[in-house]
Amino acid sequence: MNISFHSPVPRATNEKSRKKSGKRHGGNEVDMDLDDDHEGVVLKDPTIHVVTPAEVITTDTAFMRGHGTYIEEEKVLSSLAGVVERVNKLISVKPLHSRYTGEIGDVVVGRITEVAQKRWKVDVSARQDAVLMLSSVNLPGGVQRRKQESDELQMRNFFMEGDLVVAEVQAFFGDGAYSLHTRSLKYGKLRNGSFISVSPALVQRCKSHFHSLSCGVDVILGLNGYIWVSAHVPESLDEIDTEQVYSNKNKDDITPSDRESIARVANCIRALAQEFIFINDTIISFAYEASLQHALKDMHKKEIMHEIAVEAVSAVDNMKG
Amino acid sequence: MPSLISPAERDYILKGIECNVRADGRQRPDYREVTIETGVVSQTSGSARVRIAGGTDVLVSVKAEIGPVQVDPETGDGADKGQIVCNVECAPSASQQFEGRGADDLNNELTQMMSRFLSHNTNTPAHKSSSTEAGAPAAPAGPGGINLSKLCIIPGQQCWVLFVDALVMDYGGNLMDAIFMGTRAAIYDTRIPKTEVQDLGDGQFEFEVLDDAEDTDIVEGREDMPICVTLNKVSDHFTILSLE
Repeated sequence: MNISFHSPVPRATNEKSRKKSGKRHGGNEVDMDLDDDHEGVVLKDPTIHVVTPAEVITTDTAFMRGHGTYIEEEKVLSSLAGVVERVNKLISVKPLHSRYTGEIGDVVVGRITEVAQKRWKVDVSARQDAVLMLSSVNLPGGVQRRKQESDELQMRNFFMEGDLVVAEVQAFFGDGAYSLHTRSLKYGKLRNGSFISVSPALVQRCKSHFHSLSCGVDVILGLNGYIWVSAHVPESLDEIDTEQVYSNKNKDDITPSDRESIARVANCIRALAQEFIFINDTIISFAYEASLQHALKDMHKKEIMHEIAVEAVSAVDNMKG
Repeated sequence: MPSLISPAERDYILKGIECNVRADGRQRPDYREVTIETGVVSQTSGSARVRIAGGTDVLVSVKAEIGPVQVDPETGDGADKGQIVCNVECAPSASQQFEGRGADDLNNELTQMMSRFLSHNTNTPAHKSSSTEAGAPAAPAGPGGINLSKLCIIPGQQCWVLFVDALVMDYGGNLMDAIFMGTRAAIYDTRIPKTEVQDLGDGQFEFEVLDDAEDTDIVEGREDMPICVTLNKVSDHFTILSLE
């Protein structure tokens, strides 16, 4: 029996889109006509070439095989479901869904999974758990002091299994695991809010990952796709007691309306993630505004989420002009 | 693996339930979004697929077959009734805990519970211990609502047997709710062929099943079928289970 698998992209556009992506990356075909008519093509961006595993990307032997591809019978095939990327002669496929691959300096949100010898293991939705060394956290009582044996014995007083932390990627270990640090007052344990997990690809690197929205909600966009939405805590870095950094206690004055705003922002982020839209502070604000016409308790419905996301995207497009 | 949660998160969630604002903005009695499709399996007499946003996915099928009537040896009950045979199976892919034989207990429990609710004929092999069912309304309407007498073709001999099979394809809470919703929807979707009984005299009967696809019977009493709603008690309040 013959079974054939079809790609979600109309076949006719493949040749065209490959040329276009060449234009985008190579820059040597700039004079190509962009206004080709795309009959029957409903894709937003014609330069995107989606492939499924074992789909032939090209039969041209001049191309080299990159990540996510393999060669069979002199053809380059995809080994993943993803988007074709081309840099000159190198063809690679970027997977649609992947785990977090970090870089040094990334702000990540993670969950402690294990307390080990002088270190915590942290789930950051990467291929391996990241490591937070006892020597890379700020200890209570003085900003810089030597770690003592007593600190090692009471590591659970700082971070316990299940605790959420925000940290920065400091270095890589030999096996590819990340080493994190929380040596700044903006990093540390997370309180007063709720946690959302989205695809890591949806959070882009930008100047700041700590945002205070106008609606009185703080958002931490972890580059690993873990997002923390919490009640606003006024910044007064000098007054912060270092003991407080490791407290498990939420602040007492979270009002029901604060909770509603937090839930609304969280639902906006879920709506954007559901529609695979990049998440940043601007679009969250627009989504929040768009969501105000819906009751909070209806916001978990699919079509309302879709509406909010669409409205937020058009608001961002309007702003750009 | 039990999922981890930090003390601060736990406190936030509990206080949120107290304030009637849950993490995804729903209030305590709000249900998650439910999607029901009917007529999804063409080989059955009726089928439905229920999905509850956040994971739960249940496929229920109803197959009508002809079988001999089951008479209760003690009470002599059941001679003029059809039967409903239930079976619930959790797919191993639905949850990690269902792998291997992990789902066996749950399967049995859910199967027994469904049989108890849907058929008041306590003689089907699936549930021997269901005689505890007390205060069942008098026939024809059983606790399951379905009029079993209407499923009988020849009293004392032949009847329709409705095989209700539920397959749990994904598990994300509110499982019983989804199964009962699916069963109700599948029964609503069910069409039973009409039969024509001929009296041959001497207590001999013969019947013919009409294969006219247009002219079929519905399952009578389907509007009285039960629906299940699971509530969880969190501190002092009842709430519909939430996953997030």
